[in-house]
Amino acid sequence: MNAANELLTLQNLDITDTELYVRHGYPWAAWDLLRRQAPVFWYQRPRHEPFWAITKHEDIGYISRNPNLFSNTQILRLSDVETVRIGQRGRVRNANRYGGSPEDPPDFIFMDPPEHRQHRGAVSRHFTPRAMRRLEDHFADLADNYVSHFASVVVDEMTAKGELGVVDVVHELSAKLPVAAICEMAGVPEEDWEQIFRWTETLVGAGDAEFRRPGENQEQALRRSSGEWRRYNEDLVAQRMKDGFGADLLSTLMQSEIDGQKLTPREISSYLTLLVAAGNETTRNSTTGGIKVLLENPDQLERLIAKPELMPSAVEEILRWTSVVIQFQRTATEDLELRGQTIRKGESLVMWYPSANRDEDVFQDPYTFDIGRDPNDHFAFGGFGEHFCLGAHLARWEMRAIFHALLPVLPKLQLASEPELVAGSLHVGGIKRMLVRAAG
Amino acid sequence: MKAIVDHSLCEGHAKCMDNVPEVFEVREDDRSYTLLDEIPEELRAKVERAVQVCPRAAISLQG
Ligand code: SF4
Repeated sequence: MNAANELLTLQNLDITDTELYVRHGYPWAAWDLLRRQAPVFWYQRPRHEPFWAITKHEDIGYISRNPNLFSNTQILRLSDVETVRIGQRGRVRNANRYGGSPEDPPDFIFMDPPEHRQHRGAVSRHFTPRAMRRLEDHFADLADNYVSHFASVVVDEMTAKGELGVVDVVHELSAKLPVAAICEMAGVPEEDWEQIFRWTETLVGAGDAEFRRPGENQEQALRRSSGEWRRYNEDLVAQRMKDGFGADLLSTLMQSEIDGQKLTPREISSYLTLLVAAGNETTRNSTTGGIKVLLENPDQLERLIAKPELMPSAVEEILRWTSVVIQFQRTATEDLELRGQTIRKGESLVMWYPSANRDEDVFQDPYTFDIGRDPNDHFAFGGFGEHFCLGAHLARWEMRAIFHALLPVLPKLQLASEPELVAGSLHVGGIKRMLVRAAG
Repeated sequence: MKAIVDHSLCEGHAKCMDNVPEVFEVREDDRSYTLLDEIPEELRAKVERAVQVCPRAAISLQG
């Protein structure tokens, strides 16, 4: 579908085929068309349960502010029917093994208020702006180290191979600070970061053969990595019991009480996994995408170098521009109307955040990358409300630190390849590789 | 008009204080507190903006 010479229409547009994402990047033109012609659109395509595609900033904002009308407990992310089935089988297996029911929320994103507030509240103080400011200097030191390592790899490659010397930004740079920061906060020892990184990659990228072992299918890869990770978390909990509590997230989870009850070992493990995976699979991609957009817009890069005090707003613009989280899903809890469409209780709605971040009713010249954009009420961290990204400030501080350290290096780089997207992922626009070389 | 901050939602993002320091103050506990019981008319637009940009949708208006 959508051959370049075929006119895009509501009938033929496609925003769910992950192969198209890998080949052409995000379906911006299809989202533009939906926003203009059918902002609340009943989307029916093979391989997916039908859903309401929500593409306007205002509507995503409304849904996010009304968790009582739009629930998280049934299903949270749009996936193709096969991936949904794999998830259901996993829930049944876990319930058989650990007790409870397959309907139990796998982690606290799958909760509505009031439960969601209690469970999120158990860890939220680790992520407040004040908590992050205490880590600011530390992040800056880490970022300096990672960037100088990266710069030296680029120079070595050029010295050895000249024009042919290319370096992968993702693994030599973007991946490092997010793993380090969230693992340190969580209380995961440094010798295990590499392993943790591989588990999070598989969790998001199991649809891509590159993140599976030879002979594994998607379901087997998911089972293996989540099983290994859960056992690792359980050992970590046992170790913390022996060593005593510290200031880390794991200790907080282990000591938290909700309605007088301690969290269960399974909850502790799944919350830890959620936080570490969310910390890893997002900021890495915004960093890579930010490097790309700055290299493609040398005027904006020069502006930032001349006025580094624009860094906070530049980071917001990179977040808007890259829109790494593609969608989350909600289920209507009653019959309601949205822009004249009748939505029935039980029907699902999918909020397309990148589309909100190009909404011409909210952003002037949405397709212009402007590091001074103000206001910039982007939804890169989700719509404002109950489920707004808990790690928003962590991501911001990490990105400020990395781009600050990168400022002297970026003008000496050029892109050597387009970003290569992780196959089969409709939730996060994961970049598995992007090559750069020293500018000649 | 009164502004009310729901402390079960507020996580100290301080967008409210950035927009209307006359009305909101984020304290040591990372929660926002209102400094004025009645919001004067000339601050209404700014307070409405704060309601809109609070990432947690924690602020509501009464009256
Ligand atoms: S902007 Fe919202 S979450 Fe942030 S401090 Fe103000 S009320 Fe609290």
